[in-house]
Amino acid sequence: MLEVIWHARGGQGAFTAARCLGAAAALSAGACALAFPTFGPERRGAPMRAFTKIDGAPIGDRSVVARAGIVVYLDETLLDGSWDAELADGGLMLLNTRRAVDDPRVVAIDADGISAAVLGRPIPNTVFLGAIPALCDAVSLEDVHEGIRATMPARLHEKNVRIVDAAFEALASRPDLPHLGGLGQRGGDSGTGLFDLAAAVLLEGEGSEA
Amino acid sequence: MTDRKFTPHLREGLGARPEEFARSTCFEGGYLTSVNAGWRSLRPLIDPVQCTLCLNCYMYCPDGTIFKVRDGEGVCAALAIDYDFCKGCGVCAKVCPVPCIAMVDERGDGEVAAGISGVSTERVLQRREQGLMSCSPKRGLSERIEMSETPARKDAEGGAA
Amino acid sequence: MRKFLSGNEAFAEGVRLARPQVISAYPITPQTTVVEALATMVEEDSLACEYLHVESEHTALAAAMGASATGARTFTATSSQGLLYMAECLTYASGGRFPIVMMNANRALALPWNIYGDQRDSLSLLDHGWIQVYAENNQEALDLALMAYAVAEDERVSLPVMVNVDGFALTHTYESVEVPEAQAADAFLPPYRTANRFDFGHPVSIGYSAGPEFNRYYQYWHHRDMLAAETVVEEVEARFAATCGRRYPGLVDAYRCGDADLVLVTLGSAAGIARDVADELRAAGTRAGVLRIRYLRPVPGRQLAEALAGVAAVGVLEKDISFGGDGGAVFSTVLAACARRGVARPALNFIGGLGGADISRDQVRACFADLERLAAGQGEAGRVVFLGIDDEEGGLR
Repeated sequence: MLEVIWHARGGQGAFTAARCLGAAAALSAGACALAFPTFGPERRGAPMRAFTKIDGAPIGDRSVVARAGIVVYLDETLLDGSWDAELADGGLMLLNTRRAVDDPRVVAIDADGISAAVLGRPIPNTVFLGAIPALCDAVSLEDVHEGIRATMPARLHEKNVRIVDAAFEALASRPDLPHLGGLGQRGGDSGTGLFDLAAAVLLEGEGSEA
Repeated sequence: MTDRKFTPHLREGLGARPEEFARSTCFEGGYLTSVNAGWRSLRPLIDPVQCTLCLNCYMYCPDGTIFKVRDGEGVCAALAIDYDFCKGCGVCAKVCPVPCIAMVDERGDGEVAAGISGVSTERVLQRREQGLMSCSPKRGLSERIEMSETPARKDAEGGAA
Repeated sequence: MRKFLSGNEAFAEGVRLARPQVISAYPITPQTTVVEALATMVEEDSLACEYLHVESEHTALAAAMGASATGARTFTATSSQGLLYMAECLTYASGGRFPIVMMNANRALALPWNIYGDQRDSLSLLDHGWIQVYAENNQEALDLALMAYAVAEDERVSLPVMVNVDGFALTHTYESVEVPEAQAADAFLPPYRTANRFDFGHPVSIGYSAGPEFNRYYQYWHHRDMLAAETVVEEVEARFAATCGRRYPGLVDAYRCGDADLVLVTLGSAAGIARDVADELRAAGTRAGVLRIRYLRPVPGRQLAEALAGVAAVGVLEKDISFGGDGGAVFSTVLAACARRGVARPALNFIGGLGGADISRDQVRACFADLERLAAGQGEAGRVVFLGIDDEEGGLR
């Protein structure tokens, strides 16, 4: 299973991105996905998180992600020293920043800059939707396009697709870009033991298809 | 928990003893959260030299985080901000008539964020130079502090009302 | 058509397909986006119905009853304190035999005040005469919106149905759903026809009183007709499979229970994590199963007794508590259903998820571990365990 944690402040569009990624996986990539935010009252500027889970089989565990294959920080001010407690082994942290980061687990992306160049305004959330297909195989760029079309109002499709494409190209052209294999886990083994078992059970076990 | 500093939580020690506090839904006021400040990306700084103690910021703060610092006689001598609860909304800076509250980057770069509240250090200094600071910052509440663009009007009213 | 929707959005899609004639709407977290989505559909003319903004939940159900009493198919939705606020209307609606469908977004009850998902709201109102069904995921929620009307409006039933959808875990979580085509939904659900309504052509007395002489007959047939709903549920699900292509398994959804030694009984979305853990245990050689109760009223007594007759230990995992009682409402239900049919297996009650707390994989593993010990003769049968308090994790034994 690929799990993604999105960190942002209310109003920055983290949940929209989480949903869009889930839609990309579920509607286009033929996977199963869940997307949800931290639940509760909110306001603009309040720190929040959103979550996307992607797997080959229906996902029964709806609890908050503890450790994720990808952790995204849309807002650098939310980063503190213990950020890697949320990162699974072999996972990657994507950080919206202009500065260079000397940590192989961190992919620094000037998301504000990329979106400003395309749109004239910093809309960092969509940039990460373009970065993720460059970093793992869970969803392709086309899947993300489909996710955008399914999630966002029509008048925003073209702009967001352009940002996504620009971000993808910006990343794909980097030398030594890290990569998460398979369903997102680095090395290609997506913890297949349990997944294969679940798949086998679905074929032969009791219970509804609900 | 990575978001510990961003969410309010019980004052230290209390959280370990729900069997004490969870027997009713009534508890001493103000105790249930110790910190609720991870929301800031900008923080307000009051310039105590310029401050006229008009109490506008004190009144307008939506979270009531601005408090009076009293001298030995109990007279309000300055205003301070409880940064454990300040959320950086900038209302105080906007309503300050001097103006002497600057919104600076929370990460401590020291840069004044212009354009958020219209306050800048230059403007504060300008007003001082133009003699538009009409009183000392150390007055107590019993004296109404009048701020005016026209020194003549102030004279006509006798300075205190 | 495949869409990526929240539980609330999915439910609204199902309601639209059911073609209600009157919707009475009052918002409450975590249900609000259902009635908002329906309002948008009405505004856009993709749903033709009377949409009433009422000023409280009590009025929402009273208005739904009034509309139903004219023969209209009606819908309303609520949660938690809203459900309690309309509680006196619940027995009016059920005793009046009005086949209203109401979505209840399961949420904790105050005090302390809490907006997150647990199941205390609906589980504290099992005796109010409504059919109660619990969705596990957003697809089931959508499909139940349609199936609930078919069950409710069947002449042999004629009872209101409460469709329970876990607050936030389902209502606000996005997953993919298949939205049936309108033709399929219409083939499944015909328009509502009833004699239980005002009619100038055939004047009726409706919603009247009944004193000591005859009152008990109303209660008796209400009870009998609810029990008979089991047959109707099966017929409805067969028809749903034929028209809309998805098959549901009746009052309970039994997963790997056939040869199980340890069975965990639960409701709603918690079944997902329970099945994951059961699979883990099976892979390690332990015969574990999960019995998800879908319809809690009418009680699936026969199915419970049959499924549990041969197990070594049974656990009931639920998100509610009956204060001062012998555990939660589901535990009592399961024990009574078994006892009445001569089945008495060692059992434990696990109270979890209260106030929206996550039920974690580790907690479910610990539940099965407790069942394993009980099956081996260790530990006290009948114990009520509060997860995160008087289990290993909470340490407050």
